[in-house]
Amino acid sequence: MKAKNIFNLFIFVVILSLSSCSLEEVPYGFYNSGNFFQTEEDAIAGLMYAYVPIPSYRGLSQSFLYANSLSSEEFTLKSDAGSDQHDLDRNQQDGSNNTATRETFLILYLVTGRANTLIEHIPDIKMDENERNHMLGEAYFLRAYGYYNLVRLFGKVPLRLQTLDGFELVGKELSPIQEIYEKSIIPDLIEAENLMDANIRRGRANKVAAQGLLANAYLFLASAKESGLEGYEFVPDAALYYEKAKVEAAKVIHPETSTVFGFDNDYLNIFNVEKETSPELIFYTISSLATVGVKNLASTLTTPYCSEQTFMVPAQHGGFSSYYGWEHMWVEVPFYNTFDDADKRKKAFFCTELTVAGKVHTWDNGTLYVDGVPNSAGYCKRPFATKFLDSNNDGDTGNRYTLVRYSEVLLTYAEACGNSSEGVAALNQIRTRAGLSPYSTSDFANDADYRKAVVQERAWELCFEFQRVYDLRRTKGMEAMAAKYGKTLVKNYYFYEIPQEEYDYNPGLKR
Amino acid sequence: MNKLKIKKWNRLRRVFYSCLFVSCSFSLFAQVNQQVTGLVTDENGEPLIGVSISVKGTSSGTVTDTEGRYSLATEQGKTLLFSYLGYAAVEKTVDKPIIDAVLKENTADLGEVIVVGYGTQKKSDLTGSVTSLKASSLEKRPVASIDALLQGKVAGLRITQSSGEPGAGVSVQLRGISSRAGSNSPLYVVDGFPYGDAGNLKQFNINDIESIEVLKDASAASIYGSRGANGVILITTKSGGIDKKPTISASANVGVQQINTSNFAIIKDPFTYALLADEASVNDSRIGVPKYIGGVDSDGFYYPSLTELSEGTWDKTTDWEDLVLRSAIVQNYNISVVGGGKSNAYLFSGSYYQQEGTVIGSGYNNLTARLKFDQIVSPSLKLGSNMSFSYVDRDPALIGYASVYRNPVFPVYNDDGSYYKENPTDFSNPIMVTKEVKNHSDEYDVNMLAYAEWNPVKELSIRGQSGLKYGLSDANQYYPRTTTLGNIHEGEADRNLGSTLFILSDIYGTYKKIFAEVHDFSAMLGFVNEMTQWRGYSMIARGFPSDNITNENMSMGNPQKNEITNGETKEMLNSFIARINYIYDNRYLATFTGRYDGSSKFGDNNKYAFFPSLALGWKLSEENFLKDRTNWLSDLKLRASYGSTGNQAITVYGTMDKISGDINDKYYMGNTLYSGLGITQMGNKGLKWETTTQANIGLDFGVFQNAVTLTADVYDKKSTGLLRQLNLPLSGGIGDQHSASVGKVWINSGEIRNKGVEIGVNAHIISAKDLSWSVNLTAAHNQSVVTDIGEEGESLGLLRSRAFSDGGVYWRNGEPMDLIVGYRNDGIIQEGDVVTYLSGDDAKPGEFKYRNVNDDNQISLAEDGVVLGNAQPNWVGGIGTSLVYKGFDLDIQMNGVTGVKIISSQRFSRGKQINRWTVDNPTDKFPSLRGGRTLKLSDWWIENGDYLRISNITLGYNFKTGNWKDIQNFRIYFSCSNPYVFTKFSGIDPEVSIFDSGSYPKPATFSIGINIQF
Repeated sequence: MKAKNIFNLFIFVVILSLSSCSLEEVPYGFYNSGNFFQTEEDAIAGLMYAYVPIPSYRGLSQSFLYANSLSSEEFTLKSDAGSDQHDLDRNQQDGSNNTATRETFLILYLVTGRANTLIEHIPDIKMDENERNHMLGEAYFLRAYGYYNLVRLFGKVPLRLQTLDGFELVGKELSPIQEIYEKSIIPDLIEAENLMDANIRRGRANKVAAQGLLANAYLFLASAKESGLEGYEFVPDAALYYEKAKVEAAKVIHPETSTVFGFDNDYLNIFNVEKETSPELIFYTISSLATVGVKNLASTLTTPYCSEQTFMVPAQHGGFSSYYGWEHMWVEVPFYNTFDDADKRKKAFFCTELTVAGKVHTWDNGTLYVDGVPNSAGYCKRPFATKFLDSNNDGDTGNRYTLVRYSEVLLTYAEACGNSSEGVAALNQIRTRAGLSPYSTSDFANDADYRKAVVQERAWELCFEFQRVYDLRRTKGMEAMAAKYGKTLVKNYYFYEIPQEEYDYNPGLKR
Repeated sequence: MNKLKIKKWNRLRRVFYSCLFVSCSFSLFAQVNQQVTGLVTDENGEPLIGVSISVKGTSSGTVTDTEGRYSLATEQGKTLLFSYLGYAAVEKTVDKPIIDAVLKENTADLGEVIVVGYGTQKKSDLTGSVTSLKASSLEKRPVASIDALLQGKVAGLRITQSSGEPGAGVSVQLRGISSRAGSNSPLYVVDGFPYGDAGNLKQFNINDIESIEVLKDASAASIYGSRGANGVILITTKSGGIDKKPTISASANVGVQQINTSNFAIIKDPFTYALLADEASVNDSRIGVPKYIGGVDSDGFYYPSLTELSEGTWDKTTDWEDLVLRSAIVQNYNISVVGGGKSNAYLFSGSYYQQEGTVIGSGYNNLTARLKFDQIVSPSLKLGSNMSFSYVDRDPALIGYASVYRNPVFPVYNDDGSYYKENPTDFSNPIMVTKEVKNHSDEYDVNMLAYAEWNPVKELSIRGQSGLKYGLSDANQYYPRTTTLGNIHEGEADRNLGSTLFILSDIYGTYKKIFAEVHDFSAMLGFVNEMTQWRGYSMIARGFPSDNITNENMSMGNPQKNEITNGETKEMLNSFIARINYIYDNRYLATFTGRYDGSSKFGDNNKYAFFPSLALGWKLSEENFLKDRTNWLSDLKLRASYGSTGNQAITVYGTMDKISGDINDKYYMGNTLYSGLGITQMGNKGLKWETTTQANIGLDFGVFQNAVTLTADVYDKKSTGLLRQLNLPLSGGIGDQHSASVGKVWINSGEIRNKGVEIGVNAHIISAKDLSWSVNLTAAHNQSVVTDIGEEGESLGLLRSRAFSDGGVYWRNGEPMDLIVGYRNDGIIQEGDVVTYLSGDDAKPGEFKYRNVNDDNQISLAEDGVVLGNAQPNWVGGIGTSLVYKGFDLDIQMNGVTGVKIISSQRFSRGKQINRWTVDNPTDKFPSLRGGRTLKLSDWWIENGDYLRISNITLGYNFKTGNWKDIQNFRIYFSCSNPYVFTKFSGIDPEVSIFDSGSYPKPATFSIGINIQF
């Protein structure tokens, strides 16, 4: 080979090497801020991303469920459940090691953070104006939903109202409770109410949901002020906020223009998680067995175990076959016992009978029966909550979580009104449906006496709907509840301690 | 090409190599007394070209020409020294005008030249800190991996093998930890091909190794620039030789691996097990009642009573150790052929390695092949290729050895033949898991490289190479209904494919010339381009009608439950490399090395960085004041270097903010699932390299013709701008709801300093005809100090074990790395003790008495936590000795560490609970048994992790093959790996990283093998 040829070969090699040398980095398989939030599709994708934490595994499907139900008389746990869950059940949450409250805290901030990004970008997206407004309203609603849960669970938390996109934003101090209500929850819900319409968008928020949630928030402020809940001293006047709650709830109960939402007499229709037709369902999030991310675990956690793997529920609960669950969260029997035998909800909200392989397993006041014969090996070891039962449970279960329900707003209205004819009327609507005798204003000595009854009615009507812990906190009712049901109270039961990890990585926080 | 030309090429080649490797000096102005001429040949009478001839005691000399002839002017009575690479030096006294010399080939001398990355260098001319190991010193004992080969052999290289699972990776660290998020393992480079981080190199046949060079300081490693911060381990494979008769080598080794369970503390007696379990249940305030009552529990499972167990009426017990552990076979076969024709050289090798795991269900097979071929095309051009292939077939461990601790009360199977479960969610029956779960992975790796080497003129050599490495891994899993996953999903099938394509192109030229006799100059300049592309695919199907087909037909699953994910990353590295070596008079040495590196992974303004280094050396032994006075001193050299290297180990796309979504981020638009997308990573445009600057001072010392050598180095290494991911606060709103993980951002922050000393000693104590004995010793001390944590401030908890609610491994500004922080333990709370600062169950007798340092009413880590020890060792070292007596050879290797602390999480595992505190046994050494106890890390759990391991003893016998037909060499040996560990550690094996969390135990292996050479 001639030298010249060899030289040419080397030149060739050099060119070959240099030709592939660009160091420009091109993203593969993801977007970045340079090329996203430009179209309607981007806005929808962003909105889906903001909703999905709520029904997710670590959201209402598990951790968020623990955080806002174990502390009350609704649930207790099997003995080998995680120690963090037992800590919640025994009201001794600890910010340094409680996984459930850590995950709840994270999940709620994922909702608010993603909503922040949407609030920043949706106004600039070119799309149908009404739809854009509605989506922007949803973003405001979600941010308020996140902060309203955070402030009720943890009290003072860092209030972040913009996307975290620079180092200077990482550190953020705790905001007073007042600031969280005044800068996010209330204005965001008002904004959401104004921007959204009242049409049903499956699994998404709407104008009525914003009204219902805002009414609930006003009620919280009013009763927290009245009960003297720490941190709510800023509320100028409880009566003023009861009035605000009443006005806001009235928009749902007595709408100026009629909506599709309303009262439903059929409990099975309301609580069958496969049905979405009840007019009571103002806002709910969906999880479905078809997907991984929003799959529901709440059902698995609350459904009884049986080694045959499937059981039939009685006809009054739908008469369907269900896959077995982990029987992880146990309904507290003393709570079940507070339901009057005449109360239809006792039969509707609790199941005490299972049919496994043709044999009927029954629980009756602590005794287990198989085909009518006492048998301690029976499967139905305690009443279990039907609100989580999934008729399509085949191992992977779907569910929906009802977050704003017509009856809840009705009870908010009843409580806000105080001991008055309109209040008692609203309360009686709930009681009558349950087959209980109606109240009259003369049954109550004063507003406080009356409101106690409403809160108790809420405990029954809205059990397992993520309301009870909040109701106990705003009315400072934890001590009475603990005494009544034999629950323990050790620490952090009006406000959970903020997770230690937040202190570790938020330079704005100091112990 | 005719014979003549080949001969001419051979001569040219020799000229070339002589220039490359031999520094010589000659003088034109020496005092002329006599002209001496002569011919220098090898033993076969072939003239040798480029042999350097020097006049001892002067600086004059010359080299032989293409005919092997030389001419030199010198004085009568002087001594001529003939030296040539690969040949033994010869001395002749000048007593006549024609002095011919015959040089004998000396293979041992080849050790003089070592590979330094983009070139080679005479070992005696090295200025950087490099440890070189030759195959001849390594190949006597059978080892499973290159990491095992290096353990204890290189001062400063700490190799920790914490798992004994077949095919498991190891941790390899050189000179401590210098990076937080990036890799801390040295870079493996095989035949010029960067293979990636040390610790898990499977695609490689150990028998192919010719030499290993470990580049330790900045001067040696900076030629690898941004990849050299943790040092570089260069592996050179064997090659054929021109005109070399084919040599066939074959070896076979078969062994048995055994786990010594004497310190496992397994409770085999069902009664004792149940008794302890009941005690833990009764003391557990969540349960409060015993389980073994001869009745069903709340889940409907029958638990026999203690009486049933003690009287033996319960006969469903199981000895899990017997079922879970086994004596496992390991075997290894190799064959290689090396040789060459008149203008080419070749190597072919193949190996097969098979290892059964000592825990049932695990195993590892590896098949490799290599073909190397070099062709001389013309006197100035050489082409060659190097190809290798490997196939790994692996059954990863499905169960840990911890299955030996499973409840002995219960059986493997129910009466109906189905697998027994202890409770509804018990999916860990080891027999069920190993029989029913499918878990198998295959890895295929192909590596091809072609090069051309051109020598247009004597002084200049240009080498260009291009190659690719392609790896494909294919993991298969099926979880039937008897498992947790399969139970939830009605069978789950997983298939994961990952491929990595690496393309390397480099070209570099080397110029070498000696100016004015004493100025030995060489320069190298080159360009390197590396491209890495990773692609991954994962398919999951669920909801199968039955478990029979496993994952073989995934379309049989419920399509609604399918999960398909994929990913791809691409990264590029462009580098300009340069090195200048200058030697003055074979006494003063200087090396400048630089690499200008550009990586696609960094922000636009920070893509490129320069990594320079300078090193100086002084060969004191070549100075006349020493040379003339001592005859025992053979080598004395001082070295000093300073320079920088980098670490670019961040994930691809780390500078960008990232908007993405995965399968779990879908939500409903009406009835349609719609993909959610949002910010998953905060960007950082300013992200750049992590830089390590290192100063090194070294000493090479050799006496009695280097029969005893000592190499010592001290270094001070500072890594700044540590690349790592900073966790965002939980409240940041960036994270993943499904895994509950919080968002992160890549930053450069913090500083770590490593200082240390390394000593390596080699002593050939006896070198007689029938008896030789040598000892080698390495010892290294390194201290890693966190000089600046960075963003998180003063203190940072890095590691926590799930076993402990608080306490763990911390970094603190200005303190040594890996501090173990926890509580002081003052024994056990006894009856009558009043402990006011503990509450609830934690204050009862039998509980740990934590020390309340500040004497307040509670204990907290912030106020009562103290440093309990340091997980970094003080000294790491190894000792090896080799004894040869006639045909016998004995080789012993040991390695160990001192001054290390271990968090012994298994210290109160079930088998050790027999000594528990009870009212009747109020010991101060062990706590009571209580289920649900929240453990705080205290010094009770800290143990001394010092050990000395006998890693291998091999005894071989070489048969006298003089009269054997065809067989040149025949050796048979018995080898024993990991037979014993000297340690005070109470756990199974002290070779763990910080936490003894119960990993796969390392077996002792006893094997026999043969080596044959034809």
